[in-house]
Amino acid sequence: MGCLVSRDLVMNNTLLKITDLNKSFGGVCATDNVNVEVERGEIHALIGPNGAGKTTLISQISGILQSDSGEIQFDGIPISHMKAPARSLMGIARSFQITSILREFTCQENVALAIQAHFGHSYNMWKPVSSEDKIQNRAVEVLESIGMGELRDTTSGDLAHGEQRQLELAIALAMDPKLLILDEPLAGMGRIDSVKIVNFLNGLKRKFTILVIEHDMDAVFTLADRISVMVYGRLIASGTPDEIRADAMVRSAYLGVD
Amino acid sequence: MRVLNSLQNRRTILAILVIGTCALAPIAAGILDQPYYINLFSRLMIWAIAAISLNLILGYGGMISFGHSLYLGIGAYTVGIFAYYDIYNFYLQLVTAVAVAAFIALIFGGISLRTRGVYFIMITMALTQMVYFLSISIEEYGSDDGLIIYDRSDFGTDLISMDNPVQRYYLIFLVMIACLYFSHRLIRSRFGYVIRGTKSNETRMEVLGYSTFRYRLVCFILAGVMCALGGVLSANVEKFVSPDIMHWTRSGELIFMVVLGGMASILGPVTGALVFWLLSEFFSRITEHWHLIFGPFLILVVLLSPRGIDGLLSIKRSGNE
Repeated sequence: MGCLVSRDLVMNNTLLKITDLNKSFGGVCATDNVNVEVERGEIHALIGPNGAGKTTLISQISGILQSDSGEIQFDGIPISHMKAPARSLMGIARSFQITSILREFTCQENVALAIQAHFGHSYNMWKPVSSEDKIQNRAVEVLESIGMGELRDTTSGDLAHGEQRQLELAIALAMDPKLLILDEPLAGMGRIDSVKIVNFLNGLKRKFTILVIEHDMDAVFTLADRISVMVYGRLIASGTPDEIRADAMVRSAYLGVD
Repeated sequence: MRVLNSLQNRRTILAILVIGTCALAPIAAGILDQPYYINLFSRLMIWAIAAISLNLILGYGGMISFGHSLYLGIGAYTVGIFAYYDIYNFYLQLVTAVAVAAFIALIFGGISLRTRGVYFIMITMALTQMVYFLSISIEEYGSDDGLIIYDRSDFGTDLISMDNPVQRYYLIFLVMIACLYFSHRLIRSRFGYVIRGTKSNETRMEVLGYSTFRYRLVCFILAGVMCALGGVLSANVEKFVSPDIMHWTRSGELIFMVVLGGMASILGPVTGALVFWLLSEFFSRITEHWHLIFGPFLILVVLLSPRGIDGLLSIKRSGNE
C-alpha cells in the first residue's frame, strides 16, 4: 500500500511520454526523433499532411510497429519492448484509419470481444459467450452510448460506412482504456455523421485521455486541448490550438498550404 | 426471418439425414446382409472425426494445415507399436496417443504458426512428410509394408469389445458425436470467438489484447489430439497401420472433405466425408481414370459454392443469395 501512495506522489500528470523516437523504412525516416507528451484527461490532436508519419507514430505506440530507437513511457512504465496485446491490456486502445472490424460478426459480438479481452482469460472452451451477462450487458451499454443500440444484431460487414466508423470507435471505447488513440475517426464520413461523432467525442472529454489524428481542422480546433504538428516525420510544433494557429512555421508548412 | 428459419430447417434436415445414416448403418447392413458396410461406415466416420478436427483450425481458425493426416498416423502407430510389444491396454494406448499428439502438435505448431499463408501450408506439409519418411525408414515397425496389429485394444472389461464390429462401430459413432458436440460448444465459447476473430482480422485481435499466437497454438494442439483419437480407432478397425495413413495426399483429402462440406460449419466435415466417399465410389465405377473427373469436379464445386454443401443450403429458392 505504501508503495502505491509514494507512486501517487511522484506520478505527474503525464500519461504518455515519447522520447527521441525513430523509425525508418528503408531510407525513409517515417518518425524522426519525435518527442511528445500526452497529459491525463486531455484531447491531444496530431495533425500534419498525408505521409507525415502520424499513423506510423501511433502504430509504434500501440505496438503494431517496433521502433528503431527511442523510448515510450506509458503511465510511468517503459513499454517499448512490449508487444501489442500487452500494451492493450495496460490500457492503450486504438482505432484504425481503415476500418478494422470483424466483418463476419455482429456489432454486439465485435464489442463483446473487445470487453472479453480485458475480462479474464479466454481459454474457456465450453461456456457460450452469449451467456456471460456481464460482458453482453456492457457491450449493449457501449453500443447504446454511441447510438448503435438498434444495430446490435446486424452483421458488421453489412453496415453503412459511417456506421462502421462508429463501430470502430465503440470497439475502442469498450476496452475502457486509459489512453484512447483514434486514427482519423471522421475519415470518409458525411457531414451529419461527422457532427454526431464530434459531439460524441466532446462528451468524452475529461473522461478519457485521447490522442487523435484528424484532417478535419474544424473538428480538431473544436475538440483539442493541445495539438501537435508533424511534417516529414518530424514534430515541428506542439501547443494549444491558439498557439498552433499563430505559429508561423505551422502555417507555412501545413495550415497555409492546405 | 423466414429465410433464416428455412436455412435452419434445411440444416436440421441435413443433420438428421447425415447423423441418421451413420446411426442406422449397422442395422441396414444387417438387414441387407452386407456386413461389409459396417467397416466401410466405420472408416467413413473416422475420416469424419479427422475432418471435424481439421475444421477447427482450417474452417474456424483459417489455418490451412496440409499435414493434418500426421495425427491420424500418430494415433494409429501408437496402437500399432504398443501392439508390437504385446501391450493392448486401451487406456494406456489412448493416453499415450493423446500425449504424443499434443507434444508433436506443440512443437510443429510452434514452428509453423510463425508463418502465414502459403508458407504455413508448405511447412505443415513438409513436417508431416518428414514423419512419413521417418516411418518408412524404421524397419522394426514394418517400414513401408506397415505394421500388422494382431489384437485390438482391450478395455479390461467384458461389457464392450473392439472385436465386436457393431460395438466398435457405435464406439466410433459416439466419439464422432462427442467431437461434433465439442466443436459446437467450442466455437460459441470465449476461446472460439478468439479463434474466429483471429481468422477474420488478426491485427485487430492483437490490438484488442489477445496474444493470438498462443490461442492459435492451443487450437492447433486441440485439433491434433482430436485427430489422433481417429487414428487410435482406425488402427482398431484395420488391425493394420502403414505410413500411407499420413501421406500428404491424405491430408489433401481431409482438406477437400472440409471444404466440400462447408468450412466453418459444425456438421460440414461429416457431410463432406460422406459425399467425398460417395462421389469417389460413383466416379470410380464409371472409369478407371476416375481421378481425372473427380479432381475437376471438386474444383467446380468449390468455385460454384465456396462455402461447400452448407453454403448451398443458404441459397434462396429464387436463386440469388
